[in-house]
Amino acid sequence: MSKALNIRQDAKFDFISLGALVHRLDPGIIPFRKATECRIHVSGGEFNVAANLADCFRLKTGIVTAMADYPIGDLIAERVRAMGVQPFYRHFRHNGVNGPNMATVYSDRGQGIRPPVVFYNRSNEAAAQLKPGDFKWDEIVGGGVKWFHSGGIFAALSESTGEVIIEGMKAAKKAGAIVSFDLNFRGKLWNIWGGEKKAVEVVARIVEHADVLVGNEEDLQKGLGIPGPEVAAKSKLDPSTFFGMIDKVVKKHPHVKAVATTLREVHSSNHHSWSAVAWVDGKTCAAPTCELNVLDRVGGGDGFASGFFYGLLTGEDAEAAVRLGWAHGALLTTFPGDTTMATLEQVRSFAAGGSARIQR
Amino acid sequence: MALKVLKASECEFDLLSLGECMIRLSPPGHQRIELTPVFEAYAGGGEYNVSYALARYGMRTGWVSRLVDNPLGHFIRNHAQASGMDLSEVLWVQYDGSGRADRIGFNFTEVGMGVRASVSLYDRGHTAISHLKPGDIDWKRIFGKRRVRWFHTGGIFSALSESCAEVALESMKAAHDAGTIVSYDLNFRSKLWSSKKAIEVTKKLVPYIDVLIGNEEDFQKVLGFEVEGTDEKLSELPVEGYKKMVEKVVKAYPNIHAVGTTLREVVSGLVNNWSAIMYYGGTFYESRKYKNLEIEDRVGGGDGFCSGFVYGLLHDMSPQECVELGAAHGALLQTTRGDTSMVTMEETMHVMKGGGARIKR
Repeated sequence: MSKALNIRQDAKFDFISLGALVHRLDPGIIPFRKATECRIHVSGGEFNVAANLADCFRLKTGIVTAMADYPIGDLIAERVRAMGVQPFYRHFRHNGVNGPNMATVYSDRGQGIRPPVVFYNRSNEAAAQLKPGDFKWDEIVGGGVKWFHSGGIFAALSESTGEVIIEGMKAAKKAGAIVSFDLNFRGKLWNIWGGEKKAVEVVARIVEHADVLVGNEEDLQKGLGIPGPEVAAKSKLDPSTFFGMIDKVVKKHPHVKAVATTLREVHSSNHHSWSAVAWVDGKTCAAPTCELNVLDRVGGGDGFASGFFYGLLTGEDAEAAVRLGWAHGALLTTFPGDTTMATLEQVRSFAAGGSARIQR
Repeated sequence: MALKVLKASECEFDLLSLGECMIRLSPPGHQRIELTPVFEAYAGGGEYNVSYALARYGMRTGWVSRLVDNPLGHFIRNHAQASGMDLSEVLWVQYDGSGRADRIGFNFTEVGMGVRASVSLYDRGHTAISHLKPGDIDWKRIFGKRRVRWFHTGGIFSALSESCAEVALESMKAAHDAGTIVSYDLNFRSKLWSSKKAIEVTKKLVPYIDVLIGNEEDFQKVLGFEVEGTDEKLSELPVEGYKKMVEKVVKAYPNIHAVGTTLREVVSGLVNNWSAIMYYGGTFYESRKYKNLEIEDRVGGGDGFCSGFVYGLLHDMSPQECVELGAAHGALLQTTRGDTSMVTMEETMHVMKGGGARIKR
């Protein structure tokens, strides 16, 4: 195991995440303009990691977030409980007309040559109103927490949410936690209030407190303002592009101990090539590349992050951690919805090079 | 004389139940089990349903059971977790790969309509919970250290096996000794045991019961008390005869403080007359009568009554309010598919106070 991450052994929580809960409407392969029905998934980039770690990896996790008291909030709260995640809610009273709301994410699955389409209704979103001082961090992290996580989606919601992240990270750090941040750059969210320049400024202040970063090439460029590769990559799956950028990230933020990302080449909505790489305390490692038949791609990145964190949390070496993340992210694309339905045995078996041969 | 309930601040649990939860498979709509291409999956079990409902109302409930560590056991765990109940006292048994040793129980439930009755078909042999033995669970620690205000179990659990009947006795004794209120739902299931056996087992349990729940058939088949004036089909219920019977029961067992009963008359598969009656401290309290109540699925209605009425008793409501709350909650529970509660306390209060079904907007 890497000595860089010093994980405390006794703690009430293995993992606590901070971010918005959303409900995703999923009409399957039918685009919204022709849809007559949809499934409701409960999601949130930061929440998904806590949910995956609780349900599949059986860790003790929590989510710090906003909850609007109306039937959609109740629906979301019920699924949070079902995943086994302990909530710390700042409650908002819904006025019955226009909020504060739990965000709606409209997201179809695409099919073949037709890509998935995502758009939001985040008007008057409760989570965007969260501000420093809303949470009693001393109580939340007081019993001890091994790992604290947040991400770029929550940071992009409003002027105050980035400050809540910094507040939470400081408190978690004081309580001895490893702090991670998934850059998850969402241009649409930043554009309505701050723009890309603001994104870089806010994210830079957050990253000052992070030990572990997750993000793809675009995230590193747009979220961290790191210049892109000088030479165009041969392929999206070429890890050298990513490793080249890491050097720049670490130069800018020398306290960062690990950076990881998924590498995905999209051949069609249903066929991706999938790999993952990480840099942990100066050493680089890469997972194998596999071909994925994708049912629902949403949540794959969070699926990777949760497996990777699980590996590091439980003392696996960097190579094994990347493989666990890679395997779990791959399995996640085979399920509808944004959160896991995999078991730890499945993840371990795939990570060890298992196949999709029927198990009986 | 009021029930003496332990203080909430001294207890980790408001309510703990002991029993089985099964996976229920139902054909959509009113299709037949033997012809359906699709089954919808639910989870439920008499004692479990009470923990489930009260957890949804924000009470600190837990459930004690024995589950197989495989995806079927995890299905029940996920269902349970969604209510917010505590599962830390659930015993997990390793899956042997075939279910020869321990299984998760199933029941197939067809929702009847019109003249066709609902059908419940069991596939619940060799379940993990039926192998629970005395000594498997440290009741002294649970009731003595963690502390519990209310313990609930019932006749379905006791009927699962000889050893379950022994565990029922063991747990109820321990709860009683620790000052926990013990409630027991007689819930006679003829497919699980005979009336003779039920009476033999239950008589040993009754001395530890503070609150008894059961319908007129249960009192007959499980405790051996007859209601005068009922016919074989139990189509019309003589309330006066029922009251006389309850008086005999509490005379025989003075430790019983309260007795709750639902009164159901089946008009047709989806239309029932529904009400509840409660004996409490020497007086009978009758709920509002829901005549021609249109239901979607009757299964779980009795547990719905039980959980509403326990909620009332744990919240110091008057006996009349308790029976109204139980009846309203049981009525609402039958408006959704599945055995467990999907209703809110706000809806229950609305119906309990006689509110109508006018759309709210």
